[in-house]
Amino acid sequence: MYETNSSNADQFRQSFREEAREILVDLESALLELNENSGDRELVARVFRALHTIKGSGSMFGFEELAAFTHNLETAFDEVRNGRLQINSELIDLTLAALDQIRAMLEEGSVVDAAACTAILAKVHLLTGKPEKPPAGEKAVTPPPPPAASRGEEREWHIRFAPSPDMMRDGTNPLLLINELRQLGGLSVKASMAALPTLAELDPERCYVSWEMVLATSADRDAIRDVFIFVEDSCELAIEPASPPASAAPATLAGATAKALDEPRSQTAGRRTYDKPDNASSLRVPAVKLDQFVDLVGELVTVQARLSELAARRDDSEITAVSEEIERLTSSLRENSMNIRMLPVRATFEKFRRLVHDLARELGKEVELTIEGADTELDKTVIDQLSDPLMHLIRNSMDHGIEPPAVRADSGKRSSANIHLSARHSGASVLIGVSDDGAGINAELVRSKAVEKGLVAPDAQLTESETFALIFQPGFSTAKQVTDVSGRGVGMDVVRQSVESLRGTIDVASKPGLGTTVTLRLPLTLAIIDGLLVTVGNNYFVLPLANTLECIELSSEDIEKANGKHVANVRGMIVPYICLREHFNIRTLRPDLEQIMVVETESGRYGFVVDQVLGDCQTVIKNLGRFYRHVQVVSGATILGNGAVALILDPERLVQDAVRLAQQAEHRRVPSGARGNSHAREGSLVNTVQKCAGAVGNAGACPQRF
Amino acid sequence: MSVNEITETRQYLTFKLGNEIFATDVAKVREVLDLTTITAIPRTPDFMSGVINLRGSVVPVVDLRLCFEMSKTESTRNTCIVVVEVLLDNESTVIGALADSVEEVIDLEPDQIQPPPRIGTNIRTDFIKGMGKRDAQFIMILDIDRVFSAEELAVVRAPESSKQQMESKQQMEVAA
Repeated sequence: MYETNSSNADQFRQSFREEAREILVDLESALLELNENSGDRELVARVFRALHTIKGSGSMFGFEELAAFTHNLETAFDEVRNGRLQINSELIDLTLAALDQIRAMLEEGSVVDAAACTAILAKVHLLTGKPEKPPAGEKAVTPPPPPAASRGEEREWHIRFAPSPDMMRDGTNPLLLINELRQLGGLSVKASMAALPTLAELDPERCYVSWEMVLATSADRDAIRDVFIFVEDSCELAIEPASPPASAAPATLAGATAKALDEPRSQTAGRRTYDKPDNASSLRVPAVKLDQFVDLVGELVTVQARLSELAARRDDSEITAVSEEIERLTSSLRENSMNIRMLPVRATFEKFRRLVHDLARELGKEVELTIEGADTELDKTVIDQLSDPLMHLIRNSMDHGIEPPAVRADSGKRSSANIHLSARHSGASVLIGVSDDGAGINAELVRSKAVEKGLVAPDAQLTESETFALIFQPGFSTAKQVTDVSGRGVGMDVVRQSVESLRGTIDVASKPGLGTTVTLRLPLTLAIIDGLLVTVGNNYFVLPLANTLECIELSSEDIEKANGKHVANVRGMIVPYICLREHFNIRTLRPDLEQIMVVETESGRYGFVVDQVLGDCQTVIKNLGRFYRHVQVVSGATILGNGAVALILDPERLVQDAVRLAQQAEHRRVPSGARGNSHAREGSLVNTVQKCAGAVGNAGACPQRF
Repeated sequence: MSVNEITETRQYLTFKLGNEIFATDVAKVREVLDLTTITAIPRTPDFMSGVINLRGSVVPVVDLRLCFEMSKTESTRNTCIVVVEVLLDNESTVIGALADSVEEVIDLEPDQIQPPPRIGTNIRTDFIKGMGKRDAQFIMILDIDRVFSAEELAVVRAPESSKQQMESKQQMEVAA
């Protein structure tokens, strides 16, 4: 219906596709919520609006088939909205199936399964009791609610519509929009030619005109906005109720119009204003651009660090002042750019409602998904890689964890099982939890399977968490038969790999009969951290600031007083410490006065002994790459102002590593006769666990220099 | 990868480890650097020397001599870092390799290259693509992707084949 030139048309079709996909996601979650909560009128309205938008924009951008199809669904939900049709699970399922068809229609060059569409529509019509009818002659924006219906009294709206100069180039004809407004009610229009240049400068393809309109209609603000829905991004639009509500007296109307239109235009054209604050702050930007931006900020942070160092050496107050200013700016720039990349996990979580719904049906189980902390924000790169592991965890829970309703009833549980997805912040990490109230993991079964597959020695002594870690081994499955849901032993391996690549850890807790909770601990961001720069000998290290509590001195007398025990007394609290010099085998002289960095870890407070604390630094994390992916204690590297490379330490892993070493030393001290061949077993276990569970916390490192 | 795949004249960068001359396809070499400060990564095997700052990016460095069971590289005036781009698990990765000295870039015809002898070298034969001959000298052409590939590293990683470690390695292979 709009004139479009071909390249723009493609572009618009593409942007329609993107938008429609988003709407579909929202629609899906609304439908699933509706399934549980069928009386919610707000949800019905949400579904209706989404369908309406898809239909409208679909026909606008040439997706006629899609629009016609969606129209039938919209009709059904209109019935629901008007209370003539009851929501039931059949309708929801039909609509969900229809969504899949719509999704297929959106894909370029896809072949639409016409038979399936017809079947869905036939069922929908059976439900609504209405014959199929094409959206004959309907405009993109509909349905004008019957005037003077119960929709409330007519009122006047003052609409200011200033298209961006490029609007006509995009193929949009403002006149058509105004004509659409006319269908909503009585409209008086005044065009403002103020921005019109002289004829010599006039570009006939640009739009210089803006419009002031007064519309008397019974439609609400949303209906008016809907007219402009596709051009909202490229125009200045203000819709305000003209007070007082029109009493349908023509004289008043005219008067109000004249008054409204005589108001001087205060806004300059081109600047965008919206009457909905939410909109003003949202902007669609390709992810690649964002990545480049963050990369550049990262570089800037490195250069700024160099400048600071230079300034500190020069002892020139002017340079110092500039450097400090730049430091401040860089710091806020960095924070802002990181915030841009932060997204709530909601979309990722909501996506699983459908999976749970469909799988539950397929497996004949009753499962409801509850979500907590959906607003928790995470870096985009982390979110992108979160979907796959979560999917596998949920599938696993549904297939292995949750029992069939009959079994649940026998064991006195609710027949409907629960899967709980949660997200929350914890220091510089985010904890993502997937819990179910199913049967739990049978540790004995896991163990015997592992022995059968030769993953552990038959006499190996495993702690509970070591046992659970085995399920993340490739090819490991306790399922007796392979179903198309799970059982091939691939899924958990995928989880392990994804989490490993995010430098996260996995923790499994399970109680037989009560359920299983898998917790993924993921870093908030992969790009930049705030850290404390410390030295040991000639080596630089960075400790994440978020975990660091305080810094205390450690003199050689203190060491003597403790009789060689690696324990410090921090205001009466006993804090065990790890001497990085010893732990990393750095062969330099120990200074008389060392520093203990007290760090909060999951397993309590620990100290790390370093030579010197140089100060805080914002560092761009450089990945050590695939080559060093087995390294546990270092989470990355960063380049300092003087060009030196500093290693970023991972306190959690460092503590685990030290604890493991201490345990090994402990084992060695026990006479060999008493423990049999525990040495060989220890070695094999450490390696096995490392192979399978690099990410599962207590991973061992490969034979190292130590 | 074998000598049979070498069918055209190619250029090779030659470098020395001890008295032995090695070569690698020039196409794999990004640049040659003078020895700079190498930051060691704690708790890694000896042959992984550490990382360097290569114009703002962090590049891992490997002591090739230790990979080939020679003694550790000593820092001399001629010591260089040959920066190569290799495929590690099908992913292109930049790695620096320590060399005692870098010699020259030479052309080798396919008929100048022979398959590596099965015995007689103290280098693992599967690291060697072929043996080139130039003047009176033999040049070992390295399969550089192979040298750095993950499995090879895993094997090199446990050079002291004590009984315990052998056992654990077998265990690991079963696990894989």
